[in-house]
Amino acid sequence: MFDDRKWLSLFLISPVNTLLILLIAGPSIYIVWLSLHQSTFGADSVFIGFDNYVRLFSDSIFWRATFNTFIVVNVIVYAELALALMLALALNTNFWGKGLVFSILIAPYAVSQVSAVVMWRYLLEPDIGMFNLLLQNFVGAQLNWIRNPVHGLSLISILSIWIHLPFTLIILYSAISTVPLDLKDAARVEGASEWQVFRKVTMRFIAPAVLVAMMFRYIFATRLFAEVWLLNEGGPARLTEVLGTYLFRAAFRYHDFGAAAATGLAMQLLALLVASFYLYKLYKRMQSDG
Amino acid sequence: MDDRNLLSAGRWLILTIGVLWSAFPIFMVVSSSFKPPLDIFAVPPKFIFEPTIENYILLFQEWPEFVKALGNSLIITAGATVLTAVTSLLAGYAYSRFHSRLLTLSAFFMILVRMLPPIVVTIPLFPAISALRLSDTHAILILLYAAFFVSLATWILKTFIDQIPRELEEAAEVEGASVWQRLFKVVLPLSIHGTIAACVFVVIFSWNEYVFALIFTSNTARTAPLVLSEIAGSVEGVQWGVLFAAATVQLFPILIFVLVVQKFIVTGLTAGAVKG
Amino acid sequence: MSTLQIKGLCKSFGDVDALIEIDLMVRDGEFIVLVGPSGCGKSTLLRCIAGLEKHQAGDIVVDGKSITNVQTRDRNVAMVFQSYALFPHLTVTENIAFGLRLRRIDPGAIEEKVNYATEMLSLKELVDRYPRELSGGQRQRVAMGRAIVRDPMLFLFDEPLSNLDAKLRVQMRTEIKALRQRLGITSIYVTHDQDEAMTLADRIFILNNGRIEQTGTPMELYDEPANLFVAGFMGSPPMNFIELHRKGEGSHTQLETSGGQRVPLPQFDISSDMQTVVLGVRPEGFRIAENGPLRGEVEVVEPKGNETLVFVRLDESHLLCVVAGKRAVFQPNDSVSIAFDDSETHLFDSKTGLKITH
Repeated sequence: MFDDRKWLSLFLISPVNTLLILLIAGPSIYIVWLSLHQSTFGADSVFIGFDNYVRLFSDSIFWRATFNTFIVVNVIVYAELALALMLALALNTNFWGKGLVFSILIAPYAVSQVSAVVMWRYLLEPDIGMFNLLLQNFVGAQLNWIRNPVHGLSLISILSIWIHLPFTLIILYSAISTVPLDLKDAARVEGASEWQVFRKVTMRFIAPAVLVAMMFRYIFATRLFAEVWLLNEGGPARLTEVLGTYLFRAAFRYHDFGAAAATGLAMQLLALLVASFYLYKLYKRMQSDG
Repeated sequence: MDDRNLLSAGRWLILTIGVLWSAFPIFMVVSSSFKPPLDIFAVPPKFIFEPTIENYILLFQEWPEFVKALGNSLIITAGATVLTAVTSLLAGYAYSRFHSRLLTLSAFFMILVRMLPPIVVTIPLFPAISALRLSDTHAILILLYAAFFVSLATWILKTFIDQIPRELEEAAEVEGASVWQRLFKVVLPLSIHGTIAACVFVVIFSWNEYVFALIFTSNTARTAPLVLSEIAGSVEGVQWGVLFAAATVQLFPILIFVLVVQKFIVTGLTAGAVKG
Repeated sequence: MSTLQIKGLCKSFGDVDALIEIDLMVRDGEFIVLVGPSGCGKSTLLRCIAGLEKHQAGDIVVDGKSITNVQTRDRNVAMVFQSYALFPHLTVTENIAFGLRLRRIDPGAIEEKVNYATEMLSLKELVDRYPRELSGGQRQRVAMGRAIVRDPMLFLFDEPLSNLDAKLRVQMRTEIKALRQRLGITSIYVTHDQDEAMTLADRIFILNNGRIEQTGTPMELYDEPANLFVAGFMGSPPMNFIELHRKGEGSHTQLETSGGQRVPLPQFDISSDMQTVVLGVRPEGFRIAENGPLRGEVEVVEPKGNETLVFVRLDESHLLCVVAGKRAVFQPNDSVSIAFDDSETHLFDSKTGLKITH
């Protein structure tokens, strides 16, 4: 097996890399070319330079979608982190029924975006949804996500948090359970309060996991599409559009592949920008590992 | 002691809210799928009622394509899972056991690709897939779903295989095993858990995926979430019960699956996200 | 049953030379022990013989045929690993039969061989267990069983006992010795434990820094160490070394310790270009006696039961170990003098480390 090691290893990684190159990397790079062309069904692509970008940047709906994405993503990521951190800390002890509680907490991980939209619509359907009736009774107003874009984006955020909280929770929970008990006890013996133990020991230990969870959530949250599309297709009047729905509409409703590609490239660059620090660290580590 | 009591009270408050938050929407939809139509939006909500399977009967009468869509989802999920498992096992083995500059670069490439948003690739793939006559086939969804999960699965399997002592393979080699025999008789049986941890994510994703199915299927390969969204889209009054029945049918198998494999989800996410 | 010859074998990892020009010859049925400190290259040499490492130069010849370009799986060697390397997902029987099944040997024949091996190694009761259900010693036996059933040309052992506790190690050592007397297969055994080497080997090869320092039967190496390294490595507790400096000229030449104690060594002829030599005496070659040539103070006393080790401070840089009788009574700070017979002395050139002959 000596001399053919190299060929063998290339052979072993080739199926995975073929899939990645043909279905993800290749198309992702092709986007760059496409974004510089005018392209639609039944017509040859025409090179138009940066016209797609000029059109994109002068479209107020694009900016609205970008702004919505920015707001929703930040709300989602930080709310999830805060909730997941509280739940993970609360779970970090032994009690009867812990397994069941954990199972219930991660159950939304199994729910499809379609079903999640159905579930939350059931609770918040204007005038008949249980939560909206409660709100009407106690606050005097409903969450009118069909007509009010702010309410719409709020429901989109709630939905996303609900679906993705298990991901963040799992990462933070397993990070917290690796904090050595000795270390926390040592801090207590030294006179630290529980709050200080959390800040000086637990937080220090799980900080890398928190950062990684945050980065992955930023990247995944930016892909936001199905929740919005299924809830209200970015309405009313395209006021709750996000980048994902903007791209989808451009490509598959207006068949303007050039503009869609330009949006897609923006989304890719955004994801890589968010991931850059992590990727850089990872690359350094992989190089030193040989 | 005051501190302790406060902490413990806070703990229970947080967990109770967390459990309600996670379970209530699921519980409401599943339980309401067994309610007669008039009880679904009853005020105040009815938690005790005479269960009926009326909605399920209506579902299969009015949406016969839902059954076919469930079958499609099953085929596509199984296909994507097998494809992911096989390719990721081979690659995970290579990344674990062999080292070269090229392999390091390709491992990095693999993780970088994982960051790219799936919806973007649909733009160039759409015409290409039409031209190849792969639209509306099981195969294209299988390939796409696998493509978006082989990175994670390979990485999880690599970290698992890293923990299998090399000496075991050397012992097998001394005993006369070829590289394939080592892979299938030693590494594979010892990485069953890793393979499960690597595959749970593609199972869940494939069963629930919406965007690719929306774009690349229209009829023959339409999956359950798509038909579900159509049922949701045509909702008018009483049809809520049918929708809940469909959502429950679509949710039930995967929910059971997630609860059964939750340990693997935890190890897989830890290996894939934190270490990777 | 085979002979093994290694000619000019070199192996390096990047810039680091692991093995330099190794030559050795193993006779048919011989039990060879490769011993040396960690990092001396002994395991690497074994792995080269197995084909698990590829050497850059030289040749490995078994029964007159070069196996350098033969793949590991075709070399027909059996190896017992330090971690035992038992397959966790296979039972004892399946582990032992692993290699035979790969070769698609007739199942009846496999069963016969496995039965023979499990019988010999007293594993009969355990055949359906998995490795995790076995104790360390039992795992060790399964690993041996897997090697035995193959009828290999060579038996390779890579520190097979170092994961066992001290008591079990001595017991397994005896079992390995009994086994090798019964099977008579040419064997190469790697260990860092000179005690193990002494008890098991027909011949010992001592390795240090990728080279063979000395070869011989256990007693030859013990009695006639060729250099300081071998002298210090073989024997436990290790040989005492005392640095001696030449004082005076011609017939007045005398050897003194750095503390100024004179040591008469009439039997050695020390050439005049050696200003410093090293005297080596094993702890059992010393005795505490009145009017011995070396005087010092007792620092530590370690009763062992069958004997007592007395550590005597000679001067700042020399702490000597002396084996005294089992009831010897000494207290720290006692002044004692140490005597030795001329026959127990070894003298080494302090520059080259080589032995100076009588």
